[in-house]
Amino acid sequence: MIKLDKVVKQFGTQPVLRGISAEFLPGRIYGIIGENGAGKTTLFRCIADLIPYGGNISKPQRLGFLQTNNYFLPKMTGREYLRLLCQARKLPAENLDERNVFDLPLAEYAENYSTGMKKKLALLGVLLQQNELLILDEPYNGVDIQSNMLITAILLELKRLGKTVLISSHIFSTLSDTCDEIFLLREGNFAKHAQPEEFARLEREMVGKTVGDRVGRLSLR
Amino acid sequence: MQAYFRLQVRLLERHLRAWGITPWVAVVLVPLFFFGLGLLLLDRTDYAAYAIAFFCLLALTQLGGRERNFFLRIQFLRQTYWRIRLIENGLYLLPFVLLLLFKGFWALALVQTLVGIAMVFLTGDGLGNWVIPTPFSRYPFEFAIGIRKSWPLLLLAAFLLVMGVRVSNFELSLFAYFVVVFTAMGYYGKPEPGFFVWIHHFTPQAFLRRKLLLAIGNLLVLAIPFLLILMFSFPERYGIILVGLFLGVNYLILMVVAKYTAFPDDLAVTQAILIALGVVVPPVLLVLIPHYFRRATSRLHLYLP
Repeated sequence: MIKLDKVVKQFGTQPVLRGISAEFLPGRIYGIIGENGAGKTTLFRCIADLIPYGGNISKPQRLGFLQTNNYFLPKMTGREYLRLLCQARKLPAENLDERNVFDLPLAEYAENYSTGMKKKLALLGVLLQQNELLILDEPYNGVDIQSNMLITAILLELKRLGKTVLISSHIFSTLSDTCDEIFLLREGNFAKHAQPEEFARLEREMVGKTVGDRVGRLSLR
Repeated sequence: MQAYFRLQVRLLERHLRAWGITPWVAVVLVPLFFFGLGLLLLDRTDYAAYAIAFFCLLALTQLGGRERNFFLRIQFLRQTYWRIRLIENGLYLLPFVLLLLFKGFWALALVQTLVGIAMVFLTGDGLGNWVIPTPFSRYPFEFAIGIRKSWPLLLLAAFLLVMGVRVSNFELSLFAYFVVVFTAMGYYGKPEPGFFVWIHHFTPQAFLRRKLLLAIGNLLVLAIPFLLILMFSFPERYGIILVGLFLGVNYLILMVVAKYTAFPDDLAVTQAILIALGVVVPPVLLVLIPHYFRRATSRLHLYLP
């Protein structure tokens, strides 16, 4: 189980997370939504211990983190990347070609991959690591529609395997297809928390609040 | 962890081959060149030791990049991550420390080792999203970005200047000024994406001239406090200080035009060697700068017809 207890984070004098508390259980998928700059990535980085924060986070020691933009060592092939990620967790890096479900050109340099291919390679690496907790920041971003479907199927399989998955996305439908609960992050806190039967209402609320009269204000006519 | 370092060796081999260098040649020649040049410099002046220590620590800052460290921290367990950082910093430090020890700079070697080990904790997450204010924001982008990345080096330069003035050491004070110049040259070490050139509505010549004027102006803003303090503290050495100013400006011009000779690719090894030659033997600049200016102009025609 992952437990956030009054997690706070600020950059300079600007608070980003203002005392977030929540519990995330095994075998469930949690969606985190919010506007750009709401603090989703910051929250994920706090959970992954990448940046210092206030409050407490209890979590398994081994977690996988798919970042929005993933880092690849220069001149490293896709296969070497996957092998490194497995070896970093003392796991055998076997049958990589067979497990290459996104049909990536593993013999080529990862840095030369397209945006979507980089995302898929990084996701594949996180999956091969057999983490108990997976944090997926925008996994659908820049990925083709076939891979989107595959990612959704993989997420549901992870849930069946009892993993905890935290996922952020700007495409509401991808979350409503997979998540057990969705949290709306606003002004540094979880402003709303919805179960599947409330997803449609949450989406309507968000559209109303986000779109409002803004299109009219553009004076496009 | 062993897998990580084995992979690093393989990647280094690939980089060398991409530059057209056979790995075993590098294994033999790089240590010879490093120790040969280091000993030569240390024989000429003791202050070379400060330069060597400075460049070592400058190289170490590269290992503290945010993205790279996030990657390592995500993939490896905490203990392994710190071990990797410590070993990497140690491997970087070792040849420099050996060189300093060989020439008897015990105290400097110790300080360098301690600072180098402390730099393990440079992991790029310290300042977060805080925007560091610079006087260069109005004129994008090299100095504005560069200062935000290199402010510790500029602080170090200021510290060296203060130390030099306090102990009336002209060479150390002048070296502090050149730290600023070399740091500014570093701002032009990497090419920007082609888009940032393509958006301009200039001829290649006008684009380069504008780049050079901005670079010189910005360098002067950074360097003038150093030069004024030098002039004030060592008025009898004004001739050398003016030569230093002239050289600093020309070093930067060389770096700017050299960047665009290879654009949008990185500088080649031969270009880096020629730049180093220009720095060590300044008369070479008289040939190199006009030559690179012409080559940069023709290269920029691809983006600025």
